[in-house]
Amino acid sequence: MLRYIFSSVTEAIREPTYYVLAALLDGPLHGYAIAKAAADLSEGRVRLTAGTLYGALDRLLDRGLLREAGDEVVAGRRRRAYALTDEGRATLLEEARRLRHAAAVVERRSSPSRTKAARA
Amino acid sequence: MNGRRPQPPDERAGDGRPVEEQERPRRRLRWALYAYPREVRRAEGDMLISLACDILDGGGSSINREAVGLLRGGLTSRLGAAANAPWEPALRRAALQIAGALLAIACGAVAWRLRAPAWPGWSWAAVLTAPALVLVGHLAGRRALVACGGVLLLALGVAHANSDLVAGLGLEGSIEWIGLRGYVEWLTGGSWEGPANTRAWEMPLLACALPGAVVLLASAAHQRRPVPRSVALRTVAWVTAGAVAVRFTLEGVSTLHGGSAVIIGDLRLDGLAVCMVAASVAAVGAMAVGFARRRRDPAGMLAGTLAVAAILPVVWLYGLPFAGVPMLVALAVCGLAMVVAFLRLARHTSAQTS
Repeated sequence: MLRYIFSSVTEAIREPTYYVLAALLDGPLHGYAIAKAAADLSEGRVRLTAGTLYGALDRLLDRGLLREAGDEVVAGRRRRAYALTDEGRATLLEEARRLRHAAAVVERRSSPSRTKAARA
Repeated sequence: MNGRRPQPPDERAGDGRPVEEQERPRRRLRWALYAYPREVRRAEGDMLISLACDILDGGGSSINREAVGLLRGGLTSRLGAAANAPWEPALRRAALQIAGALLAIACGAVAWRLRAPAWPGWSWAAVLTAPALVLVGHLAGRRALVACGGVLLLALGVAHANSDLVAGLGLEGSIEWIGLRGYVEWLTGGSWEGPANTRAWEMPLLACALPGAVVLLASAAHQRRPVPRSVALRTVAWVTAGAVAVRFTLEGVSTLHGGSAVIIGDLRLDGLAVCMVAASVAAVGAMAVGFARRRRDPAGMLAGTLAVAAILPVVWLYGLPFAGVPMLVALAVCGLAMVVAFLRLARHTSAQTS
């Protein structure tokens, strides 16, 4: 309970940030690959522009949740790779736990047997 | 690279399209990139453009969407840098300067007018109370007192500007204002007369305190703790000295001209206006010193800019030989210029403190 309260008063992770972090769970990726993975994982809900993605990555770097994993030039285009830090991975998993708990609360309260009892 | 997932081949870059067709979106994106601060453009600009082109080539976006995204990101980046400026100490210092100057001027004016302890009247009492509340609030660390003082000063400025402003802008009869003028006694001699060759109008001095009132209210939002005792003593000392100086300035001005006016060219200034202008000039001078010392005192630099932005209208507004729409346009242009200069300064002080 205390853990839940504590996590709810810390800075919340917005959906685009959540999927950016989730995209990096398998290993470092460059910017475009992160945007593509975030769109795939969110089933098209999260579509990031370059400006939005850059701002999100910058904020996550400042918070220590990501680290830079090297620049390279591919076909004349400069690309920077990013990777999750240990803190980033822990924050993402904590957020996933929080969302799972929140979803379970609603699913439990809207179960068929409970709904039937409420209507009676 | 170890642990790195193989990346899909880059199918589009260098895909044989004419160079001009590849360059057109880059040009539009480069224009949008100007929303970012210069240091970001230089360090990360090519990477941002490459990222946007990758997203465009992947079919996940449109050129306009990417350009808007860069514009938004750039503006957020600029405001974010400004947000990291030392606002709390700067607002507190500016509030002490502005409220202290107003209190000194009001005390001096009351002392000159009454010449003996007596009830100054409700309007005078309000003009004394507003900056006093702000000062006491900051010295004691009480946000509510600061906010009350700021709101009171705001109300006084709006009320005093009321019917005078309507007459000066030629809007008489077209807008219904609640006439407080008939109910309260305002500062006598608290206005200027414009040059003789224009339509003469009075501008209420308290209206010039409106920008200052906004700064004072903003300082209430950042109020966290009382100021150190040395700062408190210093503030009380210079408010007292200022009040005495104002008292004798008003006395001297009246004696010198056998009345209440100082004539500079076509402008006629009363004693109180002289004091307000002198305070503004002092604020500009302090600002100049702040800029000269900018490498050592970012909060002071910001505070000086805030104080000048709050007090400068006193000199500037009264100097304009025109009224009506051109005055409004000039006000808007100067206001915009002050906002831009202010944001640039905030980013500069942010860079110094980071």
